[in-house]
Amino acid sequence: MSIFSREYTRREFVKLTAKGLAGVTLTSPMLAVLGCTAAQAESGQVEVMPMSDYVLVANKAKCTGCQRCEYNCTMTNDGKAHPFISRIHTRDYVQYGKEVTADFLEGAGLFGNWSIAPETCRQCDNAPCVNACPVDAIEPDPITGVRMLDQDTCIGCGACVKACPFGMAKMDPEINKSTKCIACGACVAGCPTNALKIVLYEDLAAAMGA
Amino acid sequence: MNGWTGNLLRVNLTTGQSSVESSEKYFDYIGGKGMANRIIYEEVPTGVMPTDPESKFVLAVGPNTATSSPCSGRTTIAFLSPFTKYNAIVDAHVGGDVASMIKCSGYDAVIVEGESPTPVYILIEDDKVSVEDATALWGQTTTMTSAALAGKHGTGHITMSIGKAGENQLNLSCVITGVAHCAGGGLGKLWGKKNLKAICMYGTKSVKVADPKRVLALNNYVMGDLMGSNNNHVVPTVAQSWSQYENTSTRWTGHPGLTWGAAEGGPVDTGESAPGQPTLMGYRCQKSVFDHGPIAEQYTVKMTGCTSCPVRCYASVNIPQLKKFGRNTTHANTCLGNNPYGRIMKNYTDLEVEGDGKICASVLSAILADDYGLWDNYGELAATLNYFLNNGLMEKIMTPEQYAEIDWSKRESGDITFIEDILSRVVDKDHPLSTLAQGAYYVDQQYHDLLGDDYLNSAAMTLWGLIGAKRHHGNECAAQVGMLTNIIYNRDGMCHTIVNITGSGLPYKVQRNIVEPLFGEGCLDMPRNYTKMNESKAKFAKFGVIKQVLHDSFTLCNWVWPMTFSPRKERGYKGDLSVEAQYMSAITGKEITEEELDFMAERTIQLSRAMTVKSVGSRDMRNLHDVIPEYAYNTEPDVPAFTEGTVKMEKEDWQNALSMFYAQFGWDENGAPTRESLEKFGLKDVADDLEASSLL
Repeated sequence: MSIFSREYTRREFVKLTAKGLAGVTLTSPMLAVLGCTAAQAESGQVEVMPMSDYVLVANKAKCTGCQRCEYNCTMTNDGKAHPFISRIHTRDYVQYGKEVTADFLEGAGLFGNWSIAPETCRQCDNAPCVNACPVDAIEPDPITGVRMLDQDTCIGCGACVKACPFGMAKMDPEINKSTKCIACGACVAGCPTNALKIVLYEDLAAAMGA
Repeated sequence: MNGWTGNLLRVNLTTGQSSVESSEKYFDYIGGKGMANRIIYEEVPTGVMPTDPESKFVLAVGPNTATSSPCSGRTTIAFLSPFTKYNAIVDAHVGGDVASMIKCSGYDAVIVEGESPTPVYILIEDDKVSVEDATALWGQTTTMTSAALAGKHGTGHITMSIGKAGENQLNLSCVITGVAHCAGGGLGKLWGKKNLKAICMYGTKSVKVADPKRVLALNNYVMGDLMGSNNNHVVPTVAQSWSQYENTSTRWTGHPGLTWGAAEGGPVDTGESAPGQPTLMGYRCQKSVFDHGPIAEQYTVKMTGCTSCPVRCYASVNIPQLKKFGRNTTHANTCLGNNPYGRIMKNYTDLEVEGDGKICASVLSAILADDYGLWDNYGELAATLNYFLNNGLMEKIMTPEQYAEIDWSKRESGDITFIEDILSRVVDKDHPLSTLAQGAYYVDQQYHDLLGDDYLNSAAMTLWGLIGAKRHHGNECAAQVGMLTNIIYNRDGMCHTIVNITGSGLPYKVQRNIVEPLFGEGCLDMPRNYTKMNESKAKFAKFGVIKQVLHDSFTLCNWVWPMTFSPRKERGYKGDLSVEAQYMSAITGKEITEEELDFMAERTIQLSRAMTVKSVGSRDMRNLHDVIPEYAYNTEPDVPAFTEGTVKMEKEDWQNALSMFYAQFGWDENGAPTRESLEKFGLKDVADDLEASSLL
């Protein structure tokens, strides 16, 4: 698949899912690729995060809150188990979602309805972290487009942490370096309920055209 | 430092101060149970009672905790038992997210001592530790306490708290975290006495390991080749395309067609999850159907559980019809926690769907119990309530006015509001029903004139011991082997090493062919077709408790580990019992064998047994501690022991079993450690201590 067709598919998909999957009519081949049902998509349980050359699909109905994604992320990338600096964020949201509300018993998380949404880097088109980094430690990979972090170049200023509108970038307080997501896929590969899925635009393009 | 953090946190509730010390001198005890037991031994002298100001409790994790290894989200808490005879050392074991937060805050153990004059909670945020005012939280449910502290400090903050049962210092009170993860053993009473409402934690530190790639490879090995479902059941209930066997009794309930029926966006099929598919293994244990029956499928939202565990045994259900009871409609728990008190009903009236009365009673009782922080003691409290209900004793322990307040007919008619009628009084320290939550030993002490010798000895109570400890996999599980695994504890034994084997789902011959080479011929009887005691069974029982103590120290979940069996046919279903040692080597960077790690676990058994001897005040453990109730010998009066179909035991054989088990540990015929058995494990100071107390 050429870069052009990948970017075309990405643009089309982002347009299609601008407000999430709820309300989007997805074809059977697309549902198969995304690994969810139409009902799950329509009920807002499936979050899609369009990235450089793939889509990360997080299925809130399937996530059981085990946080193995955070362990696998940091053991793979940092050589230690360090949930706080994980590039996918689960533990801060696993109990109550993003805030404790008065009706938390009916809200998200383990204390509510168990809808659990891990958050991860969007690999934004015009990435604030890339723009904010004063030493160009975060740059798009020329082949994949992933906004890659070079920890050797990172000076630990925290500009990426402040710039990220989604609160995804973290600083490793033990080495004073950014731990921005590099889309390695360790979180997906170790999820025991397949709640996380990486879908290549190549496969999505085939499904969209089917 | 790899594995361990090297730090102990000490919090004094009398002064409100905290300090940090090195944990290194306890590394010979691994961590968790071993570390916590040793600290209690050193710091809480014999004679101190559980609720004295000098009493302490210790929360401890181990080198394996939160390293990413599967099922490592366990914390052990050691303290003196408030509910069993002799008030000797006990452990509570809790899952949820506590272990990860303790470790990520930078501590191997947290020692809590002293007493606060007013309600407080401990706030741990890495190095920042404080004792905070909890006056506004006193009286709140455990759920509301967690939410209030998360709202105040952050959504990721993990809270452990007591409810009304702990505040009122009931012996059978617990500490709850994450809605329903329970640290039992009467721990809530100690917290209530110390005016400690909660511990709230958030850690930002890392857990370091010597060889992260090796740890990740071990994770893949365990999850791909060795681990089955809950209790490491390796055979599915329904035949799958890859399976050779099926067994309807196992906890590998997931299969095509069985769903999480109430999942948001429609049912999620649990499907097939063949060995080698770790990204599907979270669907293997559809625990709500296992615990509640087929009706639960439609109410199942998903399975949840503890940090790092891929098995997911917490049945998370949403039952809309519970709304009418003024409670939340969702709850998650597992095993007995899913039906702690529904069993006090005689009948169940349908609510909205035919046959939904029982599951509504079970889940409602779980919601109430977990919010109250009322500990079920592996079913003992419900059994005691039923004993008093069924024998017409309730009227005798209440005033006529108190008795008349309760509509007893609801129990028969199936009106499940009866459960709240009872439990709300059980947690009221001024109501006589609260006396039934003292633990069986103290219930018997208070009401012996009413109960005679029957209560403690009855099959209705199924205790393992007359010290008031509930049987938790005993003679019904591998005969003498299962019962023996209980006796080193001062509460229910909770040893799952053996029952994970017998319940694995594999045919008996396959099980036997794997375990006999390890422990000797005759170690594993056919189910309900038992033979007399032999040396192989004694070795098998010792293996059971060694692995359990190892897991409670390392930490790992003994409800899944060890990996005795595998779901893989090509392995001949043989697991790998050296995996814990492989993890220890990869984590610490120092190679260690299975035998060496087991030796470290046995050190803790020797120590805790010596501690129990001191609490008993006698070496005669055989006759004062390891005494099993009469039901074990008396059930099925017309059926002889050691005949097919019965789990009945025989008195002379049990004494022989004790002798053989004691010999495995180098203990004398009294069942007490000797100088030699203690010094073998570097416990000379303990031997000297026993000698100084005239107990050696």
